[in-house]
Amino acid sequence: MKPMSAPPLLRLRGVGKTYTLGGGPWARLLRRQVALAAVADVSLEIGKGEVLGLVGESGSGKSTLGRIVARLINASSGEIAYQGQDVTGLSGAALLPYRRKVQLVFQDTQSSLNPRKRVSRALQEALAARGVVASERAEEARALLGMVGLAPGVLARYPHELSGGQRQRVCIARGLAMRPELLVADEPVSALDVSLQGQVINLLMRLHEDLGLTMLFISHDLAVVRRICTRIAVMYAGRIVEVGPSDQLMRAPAHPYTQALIEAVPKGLAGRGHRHRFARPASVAGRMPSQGCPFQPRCPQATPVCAEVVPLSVAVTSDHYAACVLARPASPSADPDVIPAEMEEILDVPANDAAEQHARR
Amino acid sequence: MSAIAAEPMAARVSASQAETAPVLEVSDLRIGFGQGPNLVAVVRDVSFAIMPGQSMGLVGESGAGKSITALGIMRLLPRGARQLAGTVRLAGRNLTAASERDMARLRGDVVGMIFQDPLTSLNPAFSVGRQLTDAIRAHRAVGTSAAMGIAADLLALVGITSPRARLASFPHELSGGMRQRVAIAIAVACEPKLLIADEPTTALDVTVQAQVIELLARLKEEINLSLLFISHNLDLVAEVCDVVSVMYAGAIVEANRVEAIFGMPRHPYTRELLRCVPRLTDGSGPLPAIPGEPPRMETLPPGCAFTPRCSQAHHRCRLPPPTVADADGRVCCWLAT
Repeated sequence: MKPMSAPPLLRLRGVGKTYTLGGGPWARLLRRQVALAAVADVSLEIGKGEVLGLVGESGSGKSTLGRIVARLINASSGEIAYQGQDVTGLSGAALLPYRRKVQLVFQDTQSSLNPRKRVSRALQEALAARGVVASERAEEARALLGMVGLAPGVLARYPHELSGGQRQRVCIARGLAMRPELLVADEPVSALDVSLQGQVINLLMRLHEDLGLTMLFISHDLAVVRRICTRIAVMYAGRIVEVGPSDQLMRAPAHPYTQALIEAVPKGLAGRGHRHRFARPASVAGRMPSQGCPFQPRCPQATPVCAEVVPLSVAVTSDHYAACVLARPASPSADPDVIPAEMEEILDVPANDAAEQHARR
Repeated sequence: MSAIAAEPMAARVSASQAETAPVLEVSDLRIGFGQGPNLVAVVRDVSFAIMPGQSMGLVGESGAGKSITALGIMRLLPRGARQLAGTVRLAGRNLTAASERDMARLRGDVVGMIFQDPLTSLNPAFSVGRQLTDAIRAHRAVGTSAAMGIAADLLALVGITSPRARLASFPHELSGGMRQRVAIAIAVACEPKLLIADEPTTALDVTVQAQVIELLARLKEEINLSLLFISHNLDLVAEVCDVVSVMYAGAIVEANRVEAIFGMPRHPYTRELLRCVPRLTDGSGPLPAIPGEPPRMETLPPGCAFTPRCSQAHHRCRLPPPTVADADGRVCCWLAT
């Protein structure tokens, strides 16, 4: 691992979020409460100017992790550092500067815009929050719309008068009003038609390039993620099971879950008559195991040892890690003795390199 | 496009199937919302036919009229919508003329339907077994215990493990994929000839989606089920369907065998749409998109509705485009002439 010159923009270390199920008085009295780990022991870092994809099935904890990053919900454990500064415990006024730097875009644009406010008001409120003086807000709002490719006429519209794609652009413009450094985009194009997805994706990529915006791009759509992300992290049952450069992860996935996800993506004409040989669905596999690898009940390659221990992250290559007992270093030149690397190993991913590569392209 | 009398495709779907009659034959179906000057046609002269054991994909953007077409076939149109013209023939019967009582019997008996969200199509207050046996006993003269036996067989058919135990489960106790399987089990309970599946996997994860798709493919083989598969996911349609109809602004702009639609699309909209689909095998870089927005049905341009977004638009596109048909398919575009 080579030493890094600057700390990454964002570093998560051992982040977890546990919810307690059965919160009613009787459940409490009878001690029937169950702890559910929505996110467990996530260590990850995002380099400045990087676009990190976060993929996984519904319920895998992707959105929860995105909200933890934006500090919309508090982590139960672990540490979040932004530019080397610990922001985990910040609250109230101390949290505001961080909140400004990290903006969110959601899937459901209808519910993230107030239906009774015109676009101009939505944008101007955001500008006011950044401290822009009233006389300059109208001009800035117009400029923001221009950045997301909308005509000034949209300012006078209500959200319901806009199409889904236009609404998402307004949401992005509102996020940009804060001059963020990190944009957490939670399924930003999943509700859009395929013919319009590209418009919003390309807008995000342009903002990434023009403004140097760092992005955490959460999506269930592997093809979209592959298209725009430098690195991809795969989540399963609240854990990051694999992380690596996009091309490598898609070409040579090391974790059986990643393999299953890629296998299950419809392949068009090429997929006709093809029989899938992938993971059993969760419904057949039954409950999440209390010990061992969480994916083990669904895993077609499970071994007896998988039921015993939670696998540690293994370095497949210097920047590609998989938490699976079957994962091996890709080339013999890699030192085979470093296999039982800890999750913390992920922290050593040279994310800046990846960002540079992306910038070069 | 309304000026085109697109004849039913039935006769030219394929030579080997031409002898048998189509399960579903939709001719010049026109559905609108509103009255008088406010009348807006959202399904505009749609025609297609589905042969026994065949699966047809109906693709297009949201608002293209896919779901309304399906609901129109089932005569389950929402309040305010009504059929303005055209006929729907199901297994040789004219549904447009059928009484409400006949329709109730035909739904389930001859045609089943599943929707995107299985939670809303199942009743949360009744067990899976109760809902299945209700469906079975509504159409067949069997006792409760016999119906329970059939229900368990159906759950096994759709790939649910320990089906007898599952009969007692309630919808909220099942995962999304399981619920969709139960919905499919209910839809095929009376061995319908046709299953209409409206975005059946859109709410599901990809791994679960793959399972549901395999199930549909298996049912097609095992009970010779015909399928009307409505989806916005083109790659999924390519995997599942034999023939495809592409809808834009309420009208079918291109219809053909699946290989032709995906291999040699002829309508500019189909071509553009296919270009927009992100694929795992692609590298990184900008994603193609169709410029502009889907049209508003109230204010459609004259002639071809795709003209404002079409890169090959020409002044003649302001006139209704002709339908050009050959042995396998048809396309509704001036460029095809």
